[in-house]
Amino acid sequence: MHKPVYIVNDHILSVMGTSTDSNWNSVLKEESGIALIDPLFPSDQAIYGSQLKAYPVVNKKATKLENMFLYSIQETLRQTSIKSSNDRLMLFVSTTKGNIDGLGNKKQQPSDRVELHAMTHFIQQELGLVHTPMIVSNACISGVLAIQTAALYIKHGLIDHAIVAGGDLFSKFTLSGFYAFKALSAGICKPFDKSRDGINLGEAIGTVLLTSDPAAAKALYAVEVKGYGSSNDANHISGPSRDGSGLALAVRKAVRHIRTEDIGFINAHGTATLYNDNMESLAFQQLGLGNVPLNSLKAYYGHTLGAAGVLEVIISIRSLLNNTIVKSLGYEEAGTEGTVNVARTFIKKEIHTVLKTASGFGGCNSALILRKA
Amino acid sequence: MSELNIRNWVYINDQEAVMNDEQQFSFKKEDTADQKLEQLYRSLGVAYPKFFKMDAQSKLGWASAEYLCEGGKVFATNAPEERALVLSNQKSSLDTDEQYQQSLNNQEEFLPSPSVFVYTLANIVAGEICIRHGIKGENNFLISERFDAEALVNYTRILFEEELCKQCLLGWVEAYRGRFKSILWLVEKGESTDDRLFTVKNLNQLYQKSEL
Repeated sequence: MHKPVYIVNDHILSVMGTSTDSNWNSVLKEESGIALIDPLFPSDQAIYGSQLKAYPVVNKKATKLENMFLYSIQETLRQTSIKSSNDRLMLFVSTTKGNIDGLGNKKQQPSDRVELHAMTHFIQQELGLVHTPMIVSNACISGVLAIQTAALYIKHGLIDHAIVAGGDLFSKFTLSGFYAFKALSAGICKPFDKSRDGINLGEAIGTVLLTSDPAAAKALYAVEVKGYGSSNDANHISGPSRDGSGLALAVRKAVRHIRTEDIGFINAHGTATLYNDNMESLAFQQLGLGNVPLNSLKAYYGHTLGAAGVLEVIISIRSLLNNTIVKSLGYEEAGTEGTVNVARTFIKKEIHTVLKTASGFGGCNSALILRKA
Repeated sequence: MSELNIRNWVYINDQEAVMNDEQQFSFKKEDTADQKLEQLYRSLGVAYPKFFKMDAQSKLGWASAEYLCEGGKVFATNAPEERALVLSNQKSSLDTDEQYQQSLNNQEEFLPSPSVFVYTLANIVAGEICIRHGIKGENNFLISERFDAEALVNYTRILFEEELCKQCLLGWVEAYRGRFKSILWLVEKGESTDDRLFTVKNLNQLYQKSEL
């Protein structure tokens, strides 16, 4: 007997605030967390990004990223009846690079915990989690894919509850790589806009709590994980497919058990590179979703890598609960091959279902359908 | 659900490449990892120039999948989107991460390489395998301190039960500081013998065989 799976609580730690409420309020005010920052290396262009100058210190032995994870996970559990010692609870960590800044240290120490399993083991010990956490590291779809993986574990009865925590640092390592790719925007990024010129990187943690039993968890809300699917373009390791067919494959799986006309809005990946946004527009058009209101949150947060999928799911859940589709910040003029209905303003309307997508290096794509219970 | 059968399995370690219990290639002890992987490529007799652009981990995964998929023959009955790929390892892309980091330490000549940077993600080896074999289905890359047969079997079984795939390639791929090790399975529904049943026990036994 398969169990339904619900997301029942969440937490965001970002430059926009140390709670989901503060993040949501900043988004409603159209505030961007992206600013001009120290490039960390000799750069011939101004670098914009979102970086946390201060963060909550839970444990003095923890790294910055570990403290961010610990804080966000504790805050997520705090308001529910699920304890970290629950033996039916499992943690799923989504990250691309973990404590990558430790790799640049002149004398690297074991306490830098550069390897992802070492970081995750530390988090497990600190929180007193019974099960060894699962680490999903699948480029920019990690967050969405970790939610899929956790939901499947619950649905198939392996566990009853899951924490999915996604996070990555704003690091010289990653920043320089996207700089070398000439993929960084000269200002605050403009997803799906005609004049978009690349991405901003950001750092954040997003955490969600999943369960098969919202009542037992004393849930604050319940949004069902109704569909999921991932795919690979099998085309190119660093460029998205030209025609969007790979992303369309993931979305088709995610919408298997719903009617596509029920989708109230799409929260796209929308990195604001020419190729990504173009690819997405073609995918949504061929799926017959070209008229569905669509947004990208990258101009608020930048691309937060392992956090992005989780963080964007949380903002999308707020949208569902408040019947408010978030304005796609930075968008002015259509500039993609496929026709998509990018949200130019905040839209107040009755919505119950969202399609969330992500795509990343390695040609991977991922999609989720979430529905208000 | 009908049983899941291990159709093929392959491991490559620093000494040899073995498929379904038969040695396919044996490495010279004195050779470097780069030399070993290039010899393996030559022995496979496939013209795939992109191989030389890959990092060691991707070369290793590519060569492993080349055996496992029997030149694509194994996919005859299924569509690209019905093929899944679930990989795992301990160190993510640390081998290439360290090389890339070296290039960042030179402040005088700051020239980070995009072609190195792209390999600083765990799942790039998965992308290379998908490109080579037209795998367009489910993808996942799991990091674990040790080989975790239980996680691989659990997740793969769920993918089949959910009808998210009809075939799945899964296993472990890791290259780090001149040493490498991969072990991959190709799993599909069908009749099976005891030693080919897709179980945690069988995966662990085969993993033991691949250990040096």
